[in-house]
Amino acid sequence: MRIVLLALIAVIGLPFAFAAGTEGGRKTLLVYDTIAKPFSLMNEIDPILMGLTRFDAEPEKIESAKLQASDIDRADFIVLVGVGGSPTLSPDCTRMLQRAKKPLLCVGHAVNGPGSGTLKNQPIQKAVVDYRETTWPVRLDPFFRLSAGESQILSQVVGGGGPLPLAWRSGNRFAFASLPGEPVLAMIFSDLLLDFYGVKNIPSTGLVFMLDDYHPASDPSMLRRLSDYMAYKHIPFIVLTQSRDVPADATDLMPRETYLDSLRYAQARGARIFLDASADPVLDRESFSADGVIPMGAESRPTISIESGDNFTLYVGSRYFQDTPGSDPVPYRSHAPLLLANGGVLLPANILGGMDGIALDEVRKNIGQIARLRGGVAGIVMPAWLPFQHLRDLVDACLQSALPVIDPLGFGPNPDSQ
Amino acid sequence: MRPVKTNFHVGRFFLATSLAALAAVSTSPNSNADEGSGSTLSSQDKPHNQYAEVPFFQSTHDRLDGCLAKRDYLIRLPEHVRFEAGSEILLTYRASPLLMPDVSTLSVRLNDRELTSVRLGSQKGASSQDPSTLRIPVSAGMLLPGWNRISLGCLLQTTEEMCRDVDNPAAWLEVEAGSALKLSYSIVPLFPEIQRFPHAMTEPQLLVLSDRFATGSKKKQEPVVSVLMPWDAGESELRTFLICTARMGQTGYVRPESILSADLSAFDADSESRNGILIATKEALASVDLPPELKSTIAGLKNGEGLLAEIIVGDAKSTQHRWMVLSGGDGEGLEKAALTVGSSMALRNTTSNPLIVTEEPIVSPIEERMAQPKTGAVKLGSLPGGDMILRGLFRQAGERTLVFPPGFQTTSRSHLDLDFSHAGNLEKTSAFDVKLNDVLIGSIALTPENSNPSRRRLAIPAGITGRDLSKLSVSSYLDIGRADCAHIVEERAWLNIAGSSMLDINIAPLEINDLSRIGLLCQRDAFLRRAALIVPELPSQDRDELIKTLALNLGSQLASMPILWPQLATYAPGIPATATRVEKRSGVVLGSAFQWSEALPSKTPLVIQAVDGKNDKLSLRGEAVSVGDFDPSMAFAQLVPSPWTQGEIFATVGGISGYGGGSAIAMLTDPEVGECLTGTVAAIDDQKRIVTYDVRYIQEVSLSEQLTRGFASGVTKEQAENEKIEKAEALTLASIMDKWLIVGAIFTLAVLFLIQRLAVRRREIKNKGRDL
Repeated sequence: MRIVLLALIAVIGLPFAFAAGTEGGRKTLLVYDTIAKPFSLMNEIDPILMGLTRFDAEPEKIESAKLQASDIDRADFIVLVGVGGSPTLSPDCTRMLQRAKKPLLCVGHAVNGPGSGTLKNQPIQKAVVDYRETTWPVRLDPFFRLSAGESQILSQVVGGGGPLPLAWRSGNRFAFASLPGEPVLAMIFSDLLLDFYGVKNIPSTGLVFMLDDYHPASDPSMLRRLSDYMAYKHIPFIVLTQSRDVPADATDLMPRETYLDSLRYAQARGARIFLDASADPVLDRESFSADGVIPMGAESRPTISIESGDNFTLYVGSRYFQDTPGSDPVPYRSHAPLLLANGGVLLPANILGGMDGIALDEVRKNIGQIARLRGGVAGIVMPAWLPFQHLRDLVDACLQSALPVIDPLGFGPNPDSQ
Repeated sequence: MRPVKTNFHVGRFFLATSLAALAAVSTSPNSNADEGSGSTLSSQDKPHNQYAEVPFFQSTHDRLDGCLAKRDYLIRLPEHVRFEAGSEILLTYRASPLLMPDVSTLSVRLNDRELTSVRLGSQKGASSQDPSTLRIPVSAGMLLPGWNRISLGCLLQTTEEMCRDVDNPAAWLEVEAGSALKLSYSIVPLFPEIQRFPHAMTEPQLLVLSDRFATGSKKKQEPVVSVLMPWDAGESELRTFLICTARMGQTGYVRPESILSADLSAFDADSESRNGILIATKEALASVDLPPELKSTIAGLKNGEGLLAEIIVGDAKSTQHRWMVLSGGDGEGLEKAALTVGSSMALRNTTSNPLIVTEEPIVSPIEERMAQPKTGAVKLGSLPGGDMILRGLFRQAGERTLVFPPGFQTTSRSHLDLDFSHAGNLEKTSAFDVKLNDVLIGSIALTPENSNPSRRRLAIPAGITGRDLSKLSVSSYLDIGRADCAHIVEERAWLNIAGSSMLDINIAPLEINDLSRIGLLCQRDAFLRRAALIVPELPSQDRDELIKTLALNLGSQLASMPILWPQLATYAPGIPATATRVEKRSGVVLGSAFQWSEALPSKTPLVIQAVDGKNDKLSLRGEAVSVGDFDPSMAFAQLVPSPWTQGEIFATVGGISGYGGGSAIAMLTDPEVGECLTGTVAAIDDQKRIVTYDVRYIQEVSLSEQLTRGFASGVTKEQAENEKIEKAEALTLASIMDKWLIVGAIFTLAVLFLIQRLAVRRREIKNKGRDL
């Protein structure tokens, strides 16, 4: 009887065991000791938190001193971060974390696991990190030289005195021996999270083109030519626009009808009209729609969070955070889309289009970086003041990467909101 | 997230990337090192540079006169190529040998950016007649697709102490033919751009303008656009041809030799050589080798549906050409496609390629405003550019455009109230004049009395016709007396035409009373909606060439109009032009003098027409004249009230046995010839001798006699004109003498009457005295 009962429980519990760490429930809890490193004001936690929104629209963060057992119970995924030292946990919490079957990621000073002591920081200024058969030059500070033991090494520092593990896993226990503040480290960390969260259906990395800041002082013939070109190449693209805010020195404003005509022309050729950050999301959406221009999304705004009441589920741009206390918000530039609390998706605008050969080389290089990772999106920002030929060159340069072009409308609402 | 301040910082994530990109983006174009990084492709895709010369002007030379001579040259560059490093401006010039070499200079600017300055004046030992050549490197970033402005500014000083007088013949600089922009470019793959028609189709012409302008060149001008139709093209195809060609004429740089019209069978060869347009219904296009998807779309067209498509022939690695396909399920559908091409707004609203057109495009209120004049008084300040300030010594000019489209003319109640002021120290030779569409409406001397803000009314003559674009021009001559050119303060010489100046143009529909306005017959509406060409149904190359030439000419005069919708009708023996096509329209009937009567309903009276049953005699005002008496190069024109709609007018134009060739074209398109035309009948030969006749008035001689005298052998054009002038003077003199004779006769009669009355009175007095 007892055996039958146990078997029954196992059968009932099995789907949940498999579900944990899969694309189902993703309640994430980030436990940390302190926001900033000693003698530093730089916020090390919010960037990690924002990186987690790739998988969980609203991860929860809590200081280690305030962590309760109930918090651990509620979470599906736990990230333990030691910024200034190993996070101080209550004995109950320490025990729970040590025994928990749920995925646990230990970062920074916490890399040795819950309850371990503070480690010695041994930074490497010019490190070369090997990840997914590619090397990446980075600055590792902090860095903790540890042995991974029997664990599967996911990334290591190569060169110098021999390989040193940077990230490893043992079952659903993950470790990261640094803090992902460096841009490249942040990308690698974000890629590692795919394994941490057990994501199975990883979309292929691709390109999203966005024409930025098209307004009544822009050149409508440029937009028409670009629309024809993109239609010919079967490339859907985003046009970020607003009709109120033009440069102070603009002298040649096109009539409103011409402005709307050009947007309708672009829309008919696959352009997805998005409201610029400076647009009024309610008024502009209404006035555009009345004239046959249908906004499908908007640009994120640094000063206003994306509330659940907003009608759009598709945004482009960045999340913003204060990198130092009292400072203006700075963008967190992701290499992959991030989930939004309102059920939407935030597409990254992470590649700034240039104008000449030098800048195009940079664009190709940055796209190449993103291409090495899984599920990334290279959001190509094309300034609307560039002449058509330069925009065309930029598009052609990006297409040389052979990455597929993604229709932004393909990023529907995130599954957690359904 | 809690609210934070609005200032931004660059994120850490791509800080280095963004800074590098921003550094490249935010610096001026000049800072881009063209020699190394002009190419934006990777090393394996380095472009193959080609060169083209874009000349500054068409004539043999251009002369700049006066101490402060300046000239702007506007050149148009195509948009289908990438500008590369290696472009340069070649400027060949000769300057007056009397120029002071240490002071006289020439400066060259491109799009308002300084390129170079050089000293002028003969150096010791150099021949003053030798031209000098300037080669000025131009970076790719300085050039713009579309219009570019090259500005020459000179200081041409011939004396040490002072410089004055723009009319000093010794202060000159001549820019020679061959002065051009040598453009370095590479071809980029084409992609369909219907909305950029006609420029997308015709812009290869811009790269071969030098061939066309080279004087004395025997090189045959290669066409740059083919227009292919079935050899037995009907009204729908011909009208489509007319509309497309008129739109190509709007570019201003396309000439008749740039366009080749041929049969559809030429597609395979022509598509490898140049851009082109295919015009045919779906049945005729079935035999043309088009992409399979397009062919199936065309085959599926229903009656009443038109199709507009653009394809790129050739692959990206070889030479590509752009071909537009205009088709329809039937003629009605084809014409709907044609009307779409005839409207730039409709092209911009195309939603797909290919596009199936089911409805005729409409004219929006905004577009319609361009075809109608603005009624009521207009302030100068409300015109683009606003008020005018002419600043600087000697000759300056300014102009403002206004909405006064073709199809209208001024009436006698029009006037311009000018509010102006000027520098108080101007010499008494200073003045300015005002023109409307090149017609002088007044000149005003600038005196100390009117230096303060003054108002003057200028009457605008009646009969000034509207144009595209209509312009109000002001030319000034400002002189401040003795001044050193090298240190001129231009602030001291100025004229201000205030924005409060009021232009009150009373407008009436265009009147066409005689052949002097034959070139305006088709322009009674700015969108050509009242224009019709009536042509023989019988196919011929001459017919198509004439349609093409007239269409290009019309388009060039209506360059900024968003819509061109002329109509075309054909005729054949016993089958006159279809009334529904030509009613409510004015225009031109083409064909030989023997054919004109076939185009019009029977019994339409014509001054010149065939004699029934005789093909060797023409009836000239009822008088049968043998055609052997006329020069075969002669072309005739006569005004005919439209037999379809009262108030509309047609002109029959053609030769004796053909279309009239160059003579007919000259009558319809050459302004110099047009100025000489009067009356209701005219004839011209290939020497440009013109004879006119007005059937509305009693004439001294018959029409045939007039023609015989005017085209007598041995009479040159100048002699014929002199004779005309003498005749006119004689008529005037005769008229004056007649008046004096009448006055004299009346005076004599009056005197005789008085004498007679006096004599009678004296006799009465005498008789009375005797009685007493």
